[in-house]
Amino acid sequence: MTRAVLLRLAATAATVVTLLASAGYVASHPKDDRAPLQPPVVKPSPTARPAPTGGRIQIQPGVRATELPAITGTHVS
Amino acid sequence: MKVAASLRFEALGAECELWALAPAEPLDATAEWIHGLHRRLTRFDPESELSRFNARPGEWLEVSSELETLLREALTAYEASGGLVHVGILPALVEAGYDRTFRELATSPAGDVPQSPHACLDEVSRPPRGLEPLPALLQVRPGRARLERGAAVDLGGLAKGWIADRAVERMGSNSLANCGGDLRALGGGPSGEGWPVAFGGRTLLLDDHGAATSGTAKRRWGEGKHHLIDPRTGAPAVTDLSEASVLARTALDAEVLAKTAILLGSALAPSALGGRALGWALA
Repeated sequence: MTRAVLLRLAATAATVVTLLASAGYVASHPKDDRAPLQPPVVKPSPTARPAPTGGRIQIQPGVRATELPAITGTHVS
Repeated sequence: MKVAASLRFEALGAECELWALAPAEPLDATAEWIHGLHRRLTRFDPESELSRFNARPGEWLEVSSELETLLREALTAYEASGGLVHVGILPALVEAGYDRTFRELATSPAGDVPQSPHACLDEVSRPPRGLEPLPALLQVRPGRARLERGAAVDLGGLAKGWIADRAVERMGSNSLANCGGDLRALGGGPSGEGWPVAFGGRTLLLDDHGAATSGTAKRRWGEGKHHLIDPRTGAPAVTDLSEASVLARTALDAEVLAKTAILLGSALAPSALGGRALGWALA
């Protein structure tokens, strides 16, 4: 047999073996609905607030607010 | 607490305010400088530098250093905003009915004024749906600029932001300029901790910041007609935001980001502003 034919037979054999092994693994490991998730899911606290990821107003930490009265402001013109 | 000098006046089609501690020049002089720029950059005077530039598309024309700078800033703003901030919207703005000052528009509906200041646009064809990219319409070289035939520019909000940034440079290191809502603050202000400025329903201390607000609620006329043209459609923008205020390093940056946010709408604005703005308030 030529080398090319031998290589083709080997590749085919590897594919078939992999397919059969995968099928066997799947058949022997069905999903168990009772199995716990890893890591466990943390139920959110009723008082927890979502992290600010966008929202309607955001000010970067370096900018300070004040109780002083504003002398002017930005506005639509 | 120190006492700052202040001056309020009308220019750029809006109310302007100047505040300064130990200003480098009298505030009257800064105000007169702003008035001078207004006269040169208004689209409502056919003799202004901007109107004469708009009146001769297709030609390379000499432009002043200020107009050249603003046109270059307009090209930068176009790129920075992904094409949303587009000064070439003037034909679309006029088509939508904003063909005279807003004060005149409020008292006489579009079409009633016998002579529009935009006679230079008489030959402009009806703007296509969606504007051509700004770099295809406007070229700028040192001392000269050129518009493509059919194009015309309105510097509007960009000019207000840019002027606010220049005004504080003139007034000194502890000053604030508010040009129609586009403002720039420098220095510690009267308290030494920053200028107290109203922003998004709260008061912030600004010491090297710019702020601007873009919105559709004020300059409106008729159903669905307002002054914010969406360059993607060539028509007044359809957006779920009525107002976007942005805090940035300069008034010009804030203006560009605020306009971008309004046009993007509430779903996309936060991601566009994150990492670029120092703060924002959307309504």
